[in-house]
Amino acid sequence: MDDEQLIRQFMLSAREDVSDSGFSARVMRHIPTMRPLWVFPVATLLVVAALAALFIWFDGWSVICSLFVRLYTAFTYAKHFSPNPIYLLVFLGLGCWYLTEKIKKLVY
Amino acid sequence: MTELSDQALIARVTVFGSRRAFDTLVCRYQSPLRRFLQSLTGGDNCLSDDLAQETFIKAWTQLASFKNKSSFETWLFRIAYNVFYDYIRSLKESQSIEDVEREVENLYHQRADDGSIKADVTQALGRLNPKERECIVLFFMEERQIKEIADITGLPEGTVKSHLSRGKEKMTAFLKQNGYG
Repeated sequence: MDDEQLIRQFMLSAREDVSDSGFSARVMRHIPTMRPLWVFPVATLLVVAALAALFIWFDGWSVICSLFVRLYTAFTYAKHFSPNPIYLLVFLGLGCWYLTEKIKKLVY
Repeated sequence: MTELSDQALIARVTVFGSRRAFDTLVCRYQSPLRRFLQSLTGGDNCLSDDLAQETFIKAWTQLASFKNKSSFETWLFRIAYNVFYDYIRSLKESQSIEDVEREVENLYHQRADDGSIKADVTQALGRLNPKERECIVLFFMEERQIKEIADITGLPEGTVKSHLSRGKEKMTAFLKQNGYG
């Protein structure tokens, strides 16, 4: 065994992981509140404004309404399907809840 | 859930101010960082925990300045190293390099013979001067590359190599004297 290996073995024999024992929690209690970067809210505002402009420009509301009408009509005439708007609302509600949870996890 | 990379967590902290992402980073790196500071302070757990806490608080406030030139861990160790030397300087009014080095020696040797199970390593490291000790600890215990040690300590790579070389000689002599060789 050469000298370098000897030192490495000696040093590594004394190396051990330091258990957390509440250290991380203590650090998190002491960190100051940080304001997110100003870029983020400004970028969000710009994107929302651009999307709103596109929505108005292409008459988005009537597009959505006609889509729902076409969907409902398609479901109504489909075989083995009992049309019920409540199902659609429950489905949309669950979708919104799932998305909100995902976003909350991402942002916290 | 898959483990997020350091870059992803840092992005969440800087963009969203996410405390949970930072908590994950603290949990991930608290052990090597505290071990490194324990080596610098001669095994003083209370002092090294206080310095580690200060290091993480500085990392939280300065994370936006992290440029990805080195790994996050190397950047964190660099902050810890500076925090340690700021602490040493705060102990003395006079702040010449010799005074600071003498203070590091005093701090180290106050703790060197506390009878812990790592006493032999502490005693061996006690034979080195502070710079040699830091290089040896980073190289052998934390398994850092020469370039990373240079980034952490702010020393040129050539200087790190010569500290390592002298440190190895002293460590080898100690180990052979004490029946390890």
